[in-house]
Amino acid sequence: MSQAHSTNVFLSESLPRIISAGTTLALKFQVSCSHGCALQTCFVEFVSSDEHVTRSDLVSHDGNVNETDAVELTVPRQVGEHQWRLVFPRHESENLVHEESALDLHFKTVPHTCSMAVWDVPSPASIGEPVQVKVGVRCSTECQLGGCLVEIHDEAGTKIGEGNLGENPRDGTSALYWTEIEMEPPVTEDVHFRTAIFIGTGTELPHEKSNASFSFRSDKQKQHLVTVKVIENSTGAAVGHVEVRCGHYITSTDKSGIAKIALPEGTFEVSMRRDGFQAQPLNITVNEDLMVELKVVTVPTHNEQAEQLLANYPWG
Amino acid sequence: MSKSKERPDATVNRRDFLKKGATASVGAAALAGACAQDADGQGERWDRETDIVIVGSGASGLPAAIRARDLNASVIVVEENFDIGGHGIISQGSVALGGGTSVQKKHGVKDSADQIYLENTRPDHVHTRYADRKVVRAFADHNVETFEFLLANGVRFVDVRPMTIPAEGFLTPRRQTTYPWSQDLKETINNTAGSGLMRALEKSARAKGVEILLQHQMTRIVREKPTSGRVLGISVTNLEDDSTINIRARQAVIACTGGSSSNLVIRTIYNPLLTEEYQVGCEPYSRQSGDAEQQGMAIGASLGGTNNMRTESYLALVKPQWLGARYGYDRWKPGGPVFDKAGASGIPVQDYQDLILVNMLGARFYDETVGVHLFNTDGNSDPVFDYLAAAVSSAVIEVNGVKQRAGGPVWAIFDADAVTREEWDPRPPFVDIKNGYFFSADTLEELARKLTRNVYQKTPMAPAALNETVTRYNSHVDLGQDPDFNKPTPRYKIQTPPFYAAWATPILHDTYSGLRVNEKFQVMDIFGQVIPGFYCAGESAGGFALHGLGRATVGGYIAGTNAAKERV
Repeated sequence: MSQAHSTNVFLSESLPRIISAGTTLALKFQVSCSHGCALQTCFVEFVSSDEHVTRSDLVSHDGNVNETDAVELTVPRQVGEHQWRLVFPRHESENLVHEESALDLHFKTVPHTCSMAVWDVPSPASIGEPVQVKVGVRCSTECQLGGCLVEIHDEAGTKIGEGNLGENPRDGTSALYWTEIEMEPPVTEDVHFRTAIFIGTGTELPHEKSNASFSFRSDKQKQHLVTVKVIENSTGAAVGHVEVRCGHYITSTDKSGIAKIALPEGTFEVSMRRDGFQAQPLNITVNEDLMVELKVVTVPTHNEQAEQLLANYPWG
Repeated sequence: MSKSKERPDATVNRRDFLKKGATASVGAAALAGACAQDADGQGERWDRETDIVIVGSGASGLPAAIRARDLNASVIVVEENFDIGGHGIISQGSVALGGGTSVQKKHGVKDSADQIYLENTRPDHVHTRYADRKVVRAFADHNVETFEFLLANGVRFVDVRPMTIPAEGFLTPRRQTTYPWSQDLKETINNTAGSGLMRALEKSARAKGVEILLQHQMTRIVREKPTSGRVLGISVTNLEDDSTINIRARQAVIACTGGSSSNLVIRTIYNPLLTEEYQVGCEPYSRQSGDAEQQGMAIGASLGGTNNMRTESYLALVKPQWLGARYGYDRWKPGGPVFDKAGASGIPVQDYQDLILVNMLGARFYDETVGVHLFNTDGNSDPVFDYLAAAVSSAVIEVNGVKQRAGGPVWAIFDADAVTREEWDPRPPFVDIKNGYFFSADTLEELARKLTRNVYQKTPMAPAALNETVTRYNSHVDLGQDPDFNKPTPRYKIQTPPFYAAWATPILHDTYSGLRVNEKFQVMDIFGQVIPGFYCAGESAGGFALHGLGRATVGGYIAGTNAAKERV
């Protein structure tokens, strides 16, 4: 008479209850015998939600648990509740029977989550002039999103611009698909909020709708060109690569120390930033094209200051 | 040099120490003294015996050792680290000693012991008003002696007029800096001037016969009875082989373990908010282990001068100088002996306009620009302490339906434009990606999700929360003002991918309180009585809050002097 051993089939790690649709998982199936038997001549059957059966051989035994190699399983692309089944079929050899065991795996597939970024938002923008921004969308599982539609809505929820994502991720990102969108111009002087929306359609797998809010300031139309020349105070030498700021407007000097910036009429503080230089801000009134000189003095760079700090502070 | 009470013919239980522990010069310390049932040892089995055992080889331990040896005591120093020096060797070698030193006289600085005493007990300065006046008096009276002692033991100072440190309460020029190294001294640990102090003292100590047992950690102080009687010695664990060695101290044990900032139990006695996430200055080279405090309290010692241990005092808790690495107090140099433990050297911030700081929930909590300069030129502190108070308690989480105020990590959040403006290289070895102290992501929401990889980010940051924080902050940039925290004219949006999060959690540095000591640096018990044979110096000794090497060296000198004069 054959001796019967009970068995248990299970996963090497627990299956998440909620999984993004279409995700591929690498899992190992495991079987334990009530008597610790090695079962390398046996296999496990995987039954997918569409009843497709795949066999995987048990290839290792650690003295207690038998295990298959990692098996790649793709969860259904459809959103909803699903069930998989693992079966260790009854196995008989000589006078020993290993009883069948099974495990039902219930899970829910959901659309892929997405997140967004909006950048190069001109601020201030000019009243009455179209505003161009860059919008990017990233799927949490790095799906290809090229061609998908993104929209921009105003605070009232009205669509004021749209575009299709490009075919390649932005440089320096792993999966941020992006496009440039021109949106309708602001009509008042204010800080405005807009929302970029990824509808989630146009992709092979289901994706959640996503959105990102952003803001910008609008100002009167730019009427005058202000040229800022940045020179070193003691030598008169031009200083390039200096960030020049006129109120909210920012630009940089070229190699010859010149920065040109279009401004509306008004009064502005002109300031600068470059490591190793410093300047007293200037106040200018713009009612015509102007040329101003911003005199900078050299100061220790940040690294030099840090060294100085270490040398002069009583750290210990 | 050796003393008659050392017993070379005694039966020695040499056990493991001869295998690995005695790698340093044996010198004057006795090999002898192992007694299975020592009459004084109350049944303790002693493996080693010497006149004085010193725990710690830092800026108080080595002066104590040399001074005691000069007075003809045999000395064993135990040090848990693989090398000597403690925080002193990582420091900038700034030793503030005065009272009329030869260097002060040379540069025409008038000073006196009274002047030191008065300046360190000023009631009008937050850093000095809580000082134990007896301890300060002893400190003041031994400044000149200690300074000349350092010179006599090979320490060389840069020959410039000493400087003042208004932030510490004194205006008399006393601060001098050691030469970082010289050709006859061993290499530095992190290329800092503290090596000039500590390597010189190490060389002198070894030459005079002080035995230094590296990688030996004190695990117990042995007293005649658990909380009474004389201190007889210590138990140490050899960290190389995990063996235990009991070392008898015929005259005294001097604990110089460098403060308690690394000890979660002790530091939360002073401030329960200082939970595990906070980094500690000088780690990962040296710990402020709290061994003196913990083992001392276990035998009945009292803490003292605890009012000095407010985190709103000078360098007790500080904003990190280097972001994106676990240990942001010093810039750990790639290739250095502890760089593997440090993980990265960190990135410095030119302008806090380039980033925002958020708590573990993704919310801003203070004007980021404060605390860049720890002190103003007049000695008054920046509002950094309000920043730090917010940093350690701004997050409100809910646990089992109950609200809890918490600290948790602080993250610097910035974008690709900030990387360009700051000229950062957001890659190893500058930032620590591998251990979860620096992250980058395509979007802010992805960034928030990644933060759970950090071991201290125990509450996940909601992606939407970080997004909302940045969106709101960006609108403040458009507005030109920060109605939430009054950051002066917020300048740059955080908008251009990729986005970054760099570890920016505050740093615990100085310990300003420790075991209660008298003017001889003898440790007092909880009944106000001296514990015979037990001394403490440096940052583990309570008394006053003077930062750094001045307090440490003088304390060690006084303790070494008095311990060597003990006659049992």
